[in-house]
Amino acid sequence: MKPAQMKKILIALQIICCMIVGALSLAACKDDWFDVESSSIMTEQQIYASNDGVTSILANMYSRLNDGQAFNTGSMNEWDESISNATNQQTTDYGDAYRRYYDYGLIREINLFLKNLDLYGEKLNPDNKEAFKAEARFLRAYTYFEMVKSMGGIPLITEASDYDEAVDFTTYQTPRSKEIDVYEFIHKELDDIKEKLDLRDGNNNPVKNRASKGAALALKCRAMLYAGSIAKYNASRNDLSLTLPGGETGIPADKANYFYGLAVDAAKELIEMGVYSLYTKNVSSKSDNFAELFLKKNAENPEAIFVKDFDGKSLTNFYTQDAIPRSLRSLAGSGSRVGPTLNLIEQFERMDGTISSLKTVNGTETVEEVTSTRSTLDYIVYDNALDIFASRDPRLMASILTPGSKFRGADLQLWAGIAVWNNNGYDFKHTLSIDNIEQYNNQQMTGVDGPHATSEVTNTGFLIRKYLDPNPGSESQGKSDVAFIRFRYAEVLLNAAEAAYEMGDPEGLALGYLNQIRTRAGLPILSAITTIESIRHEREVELAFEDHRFNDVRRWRTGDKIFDGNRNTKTALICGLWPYRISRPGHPTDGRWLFRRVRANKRNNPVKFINSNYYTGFEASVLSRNPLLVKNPYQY
Amino acid sequence: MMLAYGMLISSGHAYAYEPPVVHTKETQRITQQNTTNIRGKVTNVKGEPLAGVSITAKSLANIKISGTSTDAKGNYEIKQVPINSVLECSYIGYIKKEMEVTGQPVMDIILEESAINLDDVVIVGYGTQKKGEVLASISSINADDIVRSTSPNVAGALVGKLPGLSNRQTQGTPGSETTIQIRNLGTPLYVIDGIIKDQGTFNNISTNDIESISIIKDGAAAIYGVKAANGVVLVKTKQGKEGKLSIGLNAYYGWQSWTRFPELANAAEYVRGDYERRINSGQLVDVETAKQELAKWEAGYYNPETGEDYRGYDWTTFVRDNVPQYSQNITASGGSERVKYYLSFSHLNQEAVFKDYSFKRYNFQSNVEANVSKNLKVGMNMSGKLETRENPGLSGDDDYWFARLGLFAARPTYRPYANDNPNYPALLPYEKELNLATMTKDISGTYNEDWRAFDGNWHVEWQSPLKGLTAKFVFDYYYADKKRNNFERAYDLYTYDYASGTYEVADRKTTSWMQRQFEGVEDKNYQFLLNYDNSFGDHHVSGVLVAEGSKRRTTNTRLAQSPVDNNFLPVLTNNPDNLAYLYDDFESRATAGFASRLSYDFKGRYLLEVAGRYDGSSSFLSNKRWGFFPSVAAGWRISEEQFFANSGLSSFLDNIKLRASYGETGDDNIDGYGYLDYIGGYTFNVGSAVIAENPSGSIDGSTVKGSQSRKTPVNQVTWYTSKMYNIGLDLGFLNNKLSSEFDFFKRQRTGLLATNPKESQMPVETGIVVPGINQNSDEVIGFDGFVKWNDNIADFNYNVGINFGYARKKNVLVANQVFDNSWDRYRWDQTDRWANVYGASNVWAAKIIGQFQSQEEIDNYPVVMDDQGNRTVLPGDFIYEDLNGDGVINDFDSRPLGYGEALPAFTFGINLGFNWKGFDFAVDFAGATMQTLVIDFEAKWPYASSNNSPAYMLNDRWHHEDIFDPTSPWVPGDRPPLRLDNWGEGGSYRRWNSYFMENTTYIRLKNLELGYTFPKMLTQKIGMEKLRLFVTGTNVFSLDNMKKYGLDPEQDGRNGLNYPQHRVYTIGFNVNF
Repeated sequence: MKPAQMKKILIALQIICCMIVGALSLAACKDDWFDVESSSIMTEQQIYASNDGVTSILANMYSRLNDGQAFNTGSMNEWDESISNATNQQTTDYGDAYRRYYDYGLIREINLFLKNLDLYGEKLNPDNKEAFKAEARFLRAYTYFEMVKSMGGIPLITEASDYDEAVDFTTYQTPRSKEIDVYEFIHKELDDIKEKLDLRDGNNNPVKNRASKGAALALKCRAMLYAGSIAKYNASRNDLSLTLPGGETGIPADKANYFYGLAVDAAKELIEMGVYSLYTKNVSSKSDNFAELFLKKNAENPEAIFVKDFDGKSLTNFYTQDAIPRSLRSLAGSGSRVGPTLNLIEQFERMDGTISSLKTVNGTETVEEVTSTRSTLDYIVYDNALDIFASRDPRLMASILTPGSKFRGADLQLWAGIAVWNNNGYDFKHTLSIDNIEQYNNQQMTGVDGPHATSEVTNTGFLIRKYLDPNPGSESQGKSDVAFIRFRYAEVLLNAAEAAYEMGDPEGLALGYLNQIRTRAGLPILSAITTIESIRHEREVELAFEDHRFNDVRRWRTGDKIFDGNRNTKTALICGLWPYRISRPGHPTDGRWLFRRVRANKRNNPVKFINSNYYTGFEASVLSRNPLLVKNPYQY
Repeated sequence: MMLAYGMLISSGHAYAYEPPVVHTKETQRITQQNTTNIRGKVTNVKGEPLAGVSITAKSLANIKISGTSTDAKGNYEIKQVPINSVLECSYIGYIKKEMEVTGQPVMDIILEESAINLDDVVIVGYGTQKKGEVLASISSINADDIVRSTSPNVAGALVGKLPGLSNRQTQGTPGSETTIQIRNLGTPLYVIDGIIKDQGTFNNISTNDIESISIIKDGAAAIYGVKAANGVVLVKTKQGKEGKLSIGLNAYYGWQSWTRFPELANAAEYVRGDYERRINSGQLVDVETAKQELAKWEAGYYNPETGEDYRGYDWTTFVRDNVPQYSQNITASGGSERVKYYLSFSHLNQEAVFKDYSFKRYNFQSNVEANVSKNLKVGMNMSGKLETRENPGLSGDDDYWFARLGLFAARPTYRPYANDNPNYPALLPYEKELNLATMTKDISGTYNEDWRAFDGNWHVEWQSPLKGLTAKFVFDYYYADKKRNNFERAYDLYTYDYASGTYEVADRKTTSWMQRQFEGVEDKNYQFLLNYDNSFGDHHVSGVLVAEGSKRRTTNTRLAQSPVDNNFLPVLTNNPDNLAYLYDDFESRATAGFASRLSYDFKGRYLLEVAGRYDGSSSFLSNKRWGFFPSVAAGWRISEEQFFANSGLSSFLDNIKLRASYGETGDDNIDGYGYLDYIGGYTFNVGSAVIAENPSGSIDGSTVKGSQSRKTPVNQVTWYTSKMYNIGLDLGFLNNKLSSEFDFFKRQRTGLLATNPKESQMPVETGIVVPGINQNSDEVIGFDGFVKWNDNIADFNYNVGINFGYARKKNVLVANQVFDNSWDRYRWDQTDRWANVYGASNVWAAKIIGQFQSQEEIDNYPVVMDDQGNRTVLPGDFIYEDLNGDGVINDFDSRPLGYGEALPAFTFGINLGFNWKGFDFAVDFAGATMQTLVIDFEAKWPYASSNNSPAYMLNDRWHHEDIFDPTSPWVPGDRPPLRLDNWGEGGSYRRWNSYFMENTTYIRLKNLELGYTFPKMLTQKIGMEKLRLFVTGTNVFSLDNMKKYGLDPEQDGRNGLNYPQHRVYTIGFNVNF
């Protein structure tokens, strides 16, 4: 080979070497090279180093707490308090998965949080660390209560397992605990932590959007009442078999008084704290006072004990947007999602303490179909639309928007149509479309807010007022900052009254508690409680739309009787009340009002509570992954 | 003009294999014979001079004697050429021509463009190859064929032109991107001038600046490693050519209209249908009033005194026809032996059919290359763009959607302006934000999005002293910056009071909103390349060695204010307290790889290629990060064999090549595996709650951002592996006038993310999420190819081509699915079933076997259609097939019908063109079939959301002879009768069914171009090298099965409300100085 050629090759080789060195250097720094950044991931060491980090984890857990139907207009409309105006409810029952709640993802994170606080929280102030632990245990007790309510006894898991792919996964299996043991766990946990949670501000106001002693006691009071009821009423239903042999569902009847006693004790302890009371700040109107109770927050509201709060900006709730009357809505397609039922309205007592139907006709009340356009019934004629609701429990007007109501200072337009007198009867005229309301004899046929048999207006004749935000603008884009109250003082009193009464009222507390509620409401006090129905009825009215109705009929074991799916059962058939303006020129009734009692056209079938609603069935994949679980009664 | 698939001309790196000049006694003998000097001019058939054409004098024994090439004006001179020798004239892209030297001193040569020139150079991964030696399945397209489209984005310009490229322009929104896939494999990898880029960059290069595009369809993509499983799109931008400065001006102006949008019902139809549906549903209707009302609407009654107005309004007046789209481009290119340059500036402006909606783009490209010394070349390709999208600021993210909905929803019984006075937009009581009259920048505010991008590519190339070995270093830097300013104003809506003659504010849109968004992308790419190409006798060896690394960082910051107190100044300082949200996010990724390819051929007859890449990606844990991706390909050019040359076949068959390849690629972008899923810890900003922050402070609290524990770290997962098998056959007949290529392929992917088999054993109560593993697999099987013919009759040159591709995906294994029962398994199991069909809910539908003809038939029908004992069924309602024979129609009666909502399984294109005496003409047809559109929402339900509907829905339906009389006889129609509650009544609309599914099939005239180039003699007088005028048409017509819905066949929106494509006609010119 010639030297020149040789030289060329050498140079080329040098270059190649350089390239290889370059390439290798790229490879050599490979670990650094592949380091990437994250804008959201924090290590355990970082996040558990400060109160802010720990609070951030807690905030996530608070955001995931289960709330049944809180501000959820969909599930609000499922039983007898209201119907959906937006959709036809075709279903006859809700199946055995109804209100299934089984969130072990959250349980794991709480357990992990308790473990990590010890592993990584060495920089935290020890007192704070203890408070954080107590708070997490409160959230866990709350979550177990939500689960036991839904499923009965479930596996009690209080430590987060480590994931090890190598182990036999059957070692991860845990059987269901007895239902009684879950309630006992909740009881013990809350007793253990309540004193570590007594957070108050400088004016002795307790914290409400976070765990507190009051929240722990209120939770305990409610949970123990539930346990007591299950013990007592499970036994009363010999016709059902709601008890599993292993005690996974059902609590022995002899434990009833034990749990009722615990509920009363918890209530007494909460009352004795002296920081909670019934809301009575608006002295001018009992109705407005009751409505205000659901709008005031924090120190302004001594009745609230534990709430889910919103800021109306980044943390929005769409309840007001969903429920706002059509005449006040600002977004197309929104509003009127909740149609309170006549069934509920008629539960509001008359001021004389009686419970009676609204009088629409002389003679027997008849349920009509909204599609019938003529009637010769002998309707009672009212001067004003509000008159039919006169002298009823002030909480009616505080909870419900009825024909004749005002909201945000504006008169609602609630009438179904014009009743035209014709040949000894009435012809009923309704607008064809609610978007383009027609005239009849220069009179507007139907009110902008309905009732009408279409969506986006009420179908029952009523709209909801409870929790509805009176601030203009809050009905748009979820901007309402109204908080949902999970526990309030009135419920604690009602729980205690019920528990005390159920156990024979040894201390004579029940009547006093109940009368506190009635006095605040503006009703005459009772001189004695003659049946448990007085307390249950008070609950139905006071706590309407607050996620109690389904849970109450469940624990009283009355669900299948009240909601038997039978068209002839008054409590199962959902009705509305349609007001009409009378057109009878020259006659004194002209321009006055009549009301038709109508079957709710959006609820085609009577409400049906099936036996598997007492304990929700387990998901198939949950059962298959853990063969130790036994199915619930009546589960397929 | 030529239509060249598979042909790519590159001036840059032609490693042309030239036989060495052999000095023998024969040569010396020749020189002693009679010789002559020849000069002449080489032009193409249009008379345009061709520069750089190689002219070689050869002896009859095919031995090279001497050679030269033409100058910039196409002139050549060659001296001392022996008489009776042969003058061979060759130029890439043209058919080689040989002429006998007879002694005449001037020989002008006209070259014809060739369909395929096997010496053409094709871009392949990290280099180029001669077409004849390519073993991979690669389709290419060059500049002429790309620019013959008014599509503003590059992908759109490729539609119907490349075999194996699946595409569908589902949205015609100005500035929108077109989705393309190679062989329906998934989103491909884009490589521009050798550097990996994203789809957005690809789509927004100016089509003027592209020299060629190749798509790698088979295992040859393995050289791109871990990201190349879905094929690779290679783009080369134009480079300067040696020669004097050439300035080009290209411009067009066009008129656009929607191809097709559903024709909506008029007021009378709308009102009639509204009454009709209520009566059909048994709703109370005051018949007398209704009849009077309808009569007024039908008559269009109007009383200006009282304001009674039954005229109806045609809202399509807000959709403009013939809106402009225009483009200008100026290029300067040229160069000397030392420096070559290509500079270009382009501007594109496209308006939408809605007023105030527009898209603009400015691009520049500056490619310069300099030979600093004999062996050293440096170059830089710099490009930049500015894109602006502007439209009125409406609620929601997609303002185009709002305008379309405003058009579709608008009830013809309302008018846009109070008292028809355009200063007073009217309140539409049903949807106050949907009045098209308010959708202007003046009223609603302005949405503006600017996207600026810069790309710099600097390279140094060194020709080593070792023959055929070059080394190259490339650094590429890309920076893109997207800024969005969105201002949605509050505004008033009016009514007119006829009594007083005044306008009143009836309502106000109060929700005002202002948003700023900053999005950034930064890409850095380093690349070392060694290229070797040499021949040793009959052995030809070439290879490439690459090391490269890239880093990418993206940032995204958004903040918004609502309400905005000042309705005029779009600044966030208006009221900083009203901060609606603040969002800040960034992420980065890194990859590195070492790749190499080695090619060998013997006499250009037997070809072999092996390639591989060792690749790493930051998407995986360090011990799962690196992978090796090999490929191998072999080819046999039968036409180069002696026995072939001797056979009769060679008289008409010029080229026959068999190819086979196998390659493995990967993908680090795995469905179901998120960014940094291999890391534990906590994720910040997940869930938030209003809570008191500090135990000792105020109890009111504020919103605290949550942090959630991350799932079990995914430490098992790595890229999935894709194996691509390909067999191909290339044929060339009759001097390559007829050419074709066919490919059959199968891609198998293994290691797709699957549920962990142990997951089904992990009790839910542990709360543990068992991480997924690489276990699933799928395959795509298909074929593609083209046939084309290119010839001339005298000076009439013409070409005809057809291309096609079929590809369909099947899930081979979806592991560890758990089913509760056998129906669930049948319904949802995806293993061994077509993708997009199984596991999808919409293409499982009930089959319609007819429509009820009478009430009597309904009453006697044994099967329940509506879950309500057929109580709600009316004549005209669908009869579903009761497949399981249980007397009830429910989900168990659904079966998989259709192909799935995906890109079409079969696509094809037809390309025709000719040129004659300065005229050139070309058309491209594009078509597709085997794709299902599931019709839903507005396209399915009459009066969806109580709004207007397409006219056909309200007209061609079953109805009573007298719609007001439910006892009158039924009149048949196509669709079921109208009713109030489509969901609840009748069952026709209630479930997915075969009536509302279409196998969308179309062939559309995508591009049409007619041009005329003025004779040079004329244009030179006014100083122009070239002057060409042209007219084009885009989406001129289509034959399809979507006409009955009034929908563009390519749109894929179930509600039919996609922005349809534009039909565009343009006129334009190309000038060269």
